[in-house]
Formats: sequence, structure tokens, C-alpha cells
Amino acid sequence: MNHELISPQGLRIDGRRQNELRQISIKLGVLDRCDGSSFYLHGNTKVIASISGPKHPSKASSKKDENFYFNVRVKFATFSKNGERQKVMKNSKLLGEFELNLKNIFKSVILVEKYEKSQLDLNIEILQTDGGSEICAAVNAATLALIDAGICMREYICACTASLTSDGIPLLDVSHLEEISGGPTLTIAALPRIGDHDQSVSFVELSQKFYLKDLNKIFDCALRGCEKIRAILDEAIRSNANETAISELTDN
Amino acid sequence: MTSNIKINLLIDKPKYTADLGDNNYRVFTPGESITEQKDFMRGHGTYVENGEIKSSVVGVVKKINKLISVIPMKSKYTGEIGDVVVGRVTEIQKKRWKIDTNSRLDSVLLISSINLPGGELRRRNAEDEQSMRKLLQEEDLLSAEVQNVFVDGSLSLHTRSLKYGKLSQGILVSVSPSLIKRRKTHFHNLPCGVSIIIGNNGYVWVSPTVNVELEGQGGFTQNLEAVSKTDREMIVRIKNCILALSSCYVMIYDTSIMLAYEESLKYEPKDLLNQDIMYEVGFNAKQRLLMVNQ
Repeated sequence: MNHELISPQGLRIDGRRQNELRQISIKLGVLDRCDGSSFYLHGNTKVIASISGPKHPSKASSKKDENFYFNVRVKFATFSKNGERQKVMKNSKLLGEFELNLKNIFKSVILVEKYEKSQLDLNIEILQTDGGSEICAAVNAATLALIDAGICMREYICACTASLTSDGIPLLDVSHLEEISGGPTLTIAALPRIGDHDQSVSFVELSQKFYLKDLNKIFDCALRGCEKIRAILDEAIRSNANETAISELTDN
Repeated sequence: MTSNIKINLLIDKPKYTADLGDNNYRVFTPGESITEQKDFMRGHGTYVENGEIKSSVVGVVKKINKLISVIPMKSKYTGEIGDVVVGRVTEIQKKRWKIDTNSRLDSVLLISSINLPGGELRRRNAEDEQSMRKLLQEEDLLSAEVQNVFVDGSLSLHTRSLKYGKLSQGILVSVSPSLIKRRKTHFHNLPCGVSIIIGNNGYVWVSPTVNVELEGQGGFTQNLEAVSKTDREMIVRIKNCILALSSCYVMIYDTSIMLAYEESLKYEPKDLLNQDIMYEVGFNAKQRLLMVNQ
């Protein structure tokens, strides 16, 4: 496949500009039987995240070396990928790495000292994927679910991808088609703050080689993407908070 | 055979709450700075970074003198001394029961903080420890009061009053703990023949009213008499009313439950599970409650 990633008019394959995100739509509190949940739709990627806990640790999870039991489980639906029905990935290396990455990302942002001796379970169900950026959607969905559950966090944590055309133009938020067309893909998860520019990056993944001189450009593009996503998440959280406000919460 | 199945889409969920106004308080989100002034103390739901107090949850700010805390919209139960809770026994250990009270860690009920049958001031001996399972088994429900909060946040309970103890027949309804209003009394005998225990931890116990003389037995005996059909229907109705209130984010206490009950009377108890009717009942009760409070 030899697609031009960006047309002379400056449009990408799916009609976006170079620094445009795919459409994001968010629902909070979608599941009744857990402590926090979210549904996150990013382009054609669909993810449901749910939180159960903090609760008393079950016996199976009590390892003595840890003080906070944080379990992450990721599940890909059999129908999640393009083409044929996939075999369910179970205990595969890839999935294990995915889970470990998520665990480390969120351990850096949850105020762990408040949850000593207790257990927190994060379950992520990936219903449909578009591009290898499942981890982005999973991170963003999990952030929303954690906030919905009322877990103490330092900041929103947002993840985003960026790529590079052969002419050295950075592309924000890579879709599946762009990914298989052969550019490098940079995935980052960061704690963006609105207003100031101090950002701490907690996760970086790179799929291919590219010139070092382009690194700043592509990195910056992905960080801007994280900021944009943060604004979208924040808006969704606020409107949900207003909808679900308990009228007497303030004077109780 | 056909049966009446109703599937509700999340999109169809009505947004009754949005147009009631009353949005004059400010919502803080994680990472948002509350104050940069140094002379404040940080409370729950906040943390300090670079001398600023920041919010760590989504909620509204509550200031008590110099203490700033953020009350989350939704969270697990954090106990306070004197709270009435309803809990479920999860484990029996030496000299103590472990009780699930919807909080971060399981609570403990020591054998020394219950009234043993036969004589209140009796010494606890080894025999009592061996027969703990006779009093409370795993999965049993009980009502209790918070006696103490440990450093790690877990609770110690006691049942040293005749009103607390094992629960026998009824329904447990679980709602968000932030919906429970702290009141003088959490035990109510509703005029419709139903008793409720509104636990501060979000567990609400709905049961048929029994005579006071029968009840006051230090509460580890179970009353397993058959409950009449009308009573059972009433219990289910109250349970559905509580669920309706919780789905509309209305505080749950005796007044709001009675208002919802009055609103629900035009429907059969089972119809109250229909989402549209549930929202209607909850919303009507909410509006009447606003009028009552004004």
C-alpha cells in the first residue's frame, strides 16, 4: 500500500487535518454493579473500563511484598479486530505487557498511600479497535473510570499517538490505515496541565526508527494531543458531575 | 410463550436533573488548584504540590475554618464514630468477626463489643469464642454502630444496644453512601407497616415491622415467622422507591422515602422496576421534596 499520508490540500486519508483528533465521545457511570465505569469511543475504537474497589483484598491477591493491590485486566473481544474472528488472547506475552504498562502508568498517578492494604481492580474491555493505539483508548477510558469511582488521583492522565510523514510533517492521532501505511508511531501517556507547560510523561512507546532531529516535533505533537484530550475529558467529567449532583450535597 | 421484555438504552436516560437548576456551586476536578495561600490545611480529597492545595477527586469544596476538603460525588464509605451501619459477615476470626460495610477495608466486630445472650455483664470465656458461629455466621447481615476508626481507616463496630444486632427477614438495598443523610435516627417504622434501617454506609435494610416486645432481645435470634403477602409487597415497593430515589440522585431519608412511596402508589410494585416509571417516581419525589424544604 502506498498511500500518501497527507494530500497536497493538507488533508489526511480520513479527511482530518494534520493536528486534528478523531471524534471522541464519552459516557460515565455506564455499569451499575461496579464502583466506577466509563465508555470511551475514539474514532472507531470502543472501550469499556470498570473499577471495582477499593475493597478488602481477596486472599488470592494478597502478596506480602506489596501494600496496595492493584490488578489490571484487559480483554479483547473476539470481534474487536478487522477481518477474521480473533482467538481470545489469554495470558499471552503481549497482553501481559499491555496490562503491566497500564498498571505502571496508573500507579504513578493514583495517591497510593490513601489506599494502603486495599485492593483495586481495573477491568478493560476492548470492543473494537482501530489502529494499534488500543493502549491510548484504554488509558483514557481508565482515567475516566477511576475519576467516576472517586479514586484520589494527582491529575488526569491522557494518552495519545503521533506519526510522521515522509516529508517530516507530524500527524496527530494515528488511525489504523495510517499506521499500516508505514510511518513510525509514537505513543505517550502524560499528565497535561491546562495553562502551564509543565508536563510529566509517564509512558513512551515507539514502533519504528526515525531521525533524531524529528523527535522533538513528533513528541510535541503527541503532547499537544494529550492536552486536547484532557480538555475533552474534563468537559465530560464536569457535565456529568452537574447531571449527577445531589442537590443537598453542599449543605449536608 | 411471549414475555414482556423492555430494553433500555443508555442514550434514552432522561436528564431530569439538569433542568432543575441549582448549579451555583463549583465543581473541582483532579489536579485543579483550590488555593495557593499557605495558611490552609488540607483535608480529604486534596493534596499539596508546590505549596498549592489541589483537588484529587471530582466534587465540591467544603471549608471548615482553615480546613479545606473536597467531597467527592461518589465514593466508598468512610466511617465516622457513631454512624449506624448495616453490614455482612465475611469471615470469622479469633475473637472477632470481619464485616463488609461497603468501605475500603472490612470492619471488625469484636466479641467483647457485643451483648452476649443471657446477662449483659458476663465475662467472655473461651467457650464463647468457640461458639461465635452460633451467633453470627458468614453471610449473615447485622446492624451496628461505629465504635472507633483505626489509623488505617478500617472501622471497629459494636452492637451494645438492643436496637442493633442480627437482621432476620427483609431486603438489603445498596445505594451510594453519599446519598445517605446524617440524621438523629436511622431506624424508622414507616406508617405503611415497614421498618427501615438506613445505614450510613449506603446499605438500607427494609423489613416488616415487628412488635417492640419481640424485637428487644439483644438481637441474635432470628424471627422466621411467615410474612404475609401484603407485607412483602409493601417491602418490595419501598425497596423500589429507594432505588428510584437513588437513580435520580435524591438524598435518602424518611421524608424522601415517604414522598416517593406516595408517588408510587398509582403503580404496581413490579412496574416500578420499569426505568421510565422509576425516573418518574424519583423525579416527582424530588420536586415535592424541594417544595417541602423551601
